[in-house]
Amino acid sequence: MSTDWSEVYRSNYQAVVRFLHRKVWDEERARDLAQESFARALGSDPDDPRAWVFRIAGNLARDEARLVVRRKRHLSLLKVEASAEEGASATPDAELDRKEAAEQVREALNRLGERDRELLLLWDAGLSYEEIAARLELARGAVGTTLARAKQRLVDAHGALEDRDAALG
Amino acid sequence: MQHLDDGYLQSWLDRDRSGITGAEAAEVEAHVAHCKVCAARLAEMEGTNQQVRSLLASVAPGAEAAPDFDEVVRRSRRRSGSGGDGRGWMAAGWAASIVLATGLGWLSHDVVRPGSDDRASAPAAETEAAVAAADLPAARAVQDLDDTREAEEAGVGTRGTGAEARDTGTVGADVAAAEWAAGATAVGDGTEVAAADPEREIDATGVDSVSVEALLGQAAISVEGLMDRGAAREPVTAALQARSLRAREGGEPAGEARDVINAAGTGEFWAPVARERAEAGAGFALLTVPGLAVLEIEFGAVGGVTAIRVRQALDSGAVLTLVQWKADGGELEPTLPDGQAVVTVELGEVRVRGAAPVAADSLRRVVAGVR
Repeated sequence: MSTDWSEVYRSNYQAVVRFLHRKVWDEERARDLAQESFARALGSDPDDPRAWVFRIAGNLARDEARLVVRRKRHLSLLKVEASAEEGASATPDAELDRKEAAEQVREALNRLGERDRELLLLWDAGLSYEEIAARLELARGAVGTTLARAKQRLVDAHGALEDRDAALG
Repeated sequence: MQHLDDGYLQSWLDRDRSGITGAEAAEVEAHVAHCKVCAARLAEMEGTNQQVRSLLASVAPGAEAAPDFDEVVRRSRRRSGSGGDGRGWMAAGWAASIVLATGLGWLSHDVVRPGSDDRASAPAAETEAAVAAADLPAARAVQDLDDTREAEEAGVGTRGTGAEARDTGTVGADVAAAEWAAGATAVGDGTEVAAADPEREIDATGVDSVSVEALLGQAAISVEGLMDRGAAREPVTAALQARSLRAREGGEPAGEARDVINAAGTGEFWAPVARERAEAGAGFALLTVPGLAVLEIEFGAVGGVTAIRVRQALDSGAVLTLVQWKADGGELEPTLPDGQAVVTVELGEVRVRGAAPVAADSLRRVVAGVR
């Protein structure tokens, strides 16, 4: 039976965007890459269309990461400009808090190993244990244990960052 | 009493998708009803679950409705180049050629070591453009090999990866052939290009020079090129020539050689390059909006006309894309990000088309400032 990509797209687009956003940390880029993932998947007829799309999305995010490395020098410059702007525009406290909290989570995720991070993102995207196992080349029986450890590591890493920032005042 | 391990408890927490059976779930429930240790552990893990969900939700993108599925379909068609006028498959074919040639550029890096006498036979211009080769760290090479495998499985072409992790030209050629096949699969409707079964002859003649013949359906293509690499050893296509092999004589390429990036009707191709190289290739000085950081400069061709594409960061963080070409080159329709305002201006001999996710009025003011 051929894949109903329209339905796959409708039911998984947001999850793919979420997945990509936590890899590229740019909403607009994540949406663009999500569309690109589905565009590349069209025409194929995989056994598990959802897992197929996530595989493509993962590859695209990795390519994107390489591009970011090449742009690093320019990105540094952008950061300086952004900081200066923020200071001048008196961002409301609540917004600042939200940004700082998100930055903590982002840093905590970055502190995880590649496999733990991928595992959590795929889990959060709603993939089944079987799909996760296939994507990460794990035994299906090992997904639960690995997942439990990865979650604990994320919570611990986040806690450590909260403590660090609290100590810094 | 033997306690349940975390994996089992986690599977129960995710029982809607872990594949745990009804009997296994009942076993967990019966156990925790009588085992305080496991009940406490389960509660703790449930808390961790919620905490993780909450943390991940805090970095979720804002909710925005999915763009219409038709847009994805259009995008897919653009990718595969199935325009129906015969130009589409050509564009995909050239793109595949470049992918293949780029992969072979890496291959030639392995086959012919830096300093080889073979380089001495390259034309002076080619030698000047060649960048000294340097081996990649082993870890990077292994990573690239993994990427290539994944890409092959997913049908996603990667550019120039994999070959450097291999020992022999034969294996590297297989990688390139797989990429070729991936590109050929994406050609589209299958009417103009039959199933891709490339024949190939490979002759790596120098560190940065490649020569490839391949058969794509009924179209035979020869690609000869010069690889230019940046400091990060990423392959950058400096110049590629292609010949149509519709008439083959004794296996030798026939037909007039054309620069791929200058060839009329070959679609669109971009490669990141240094500003000087882009300007030299396009024949005019790059125009940018002063005060905005330049993110990337690419040189390429749209429908056979050479052009430069530059991305700059707007103050809002959005990206401004500027495609520019000589006005006497004709009207171009470069691919620009979907759903963005588009403005075209002309400055002297150069025409500039800009796109950004901002209001058209704002974009017009920004693009008017190019110099």
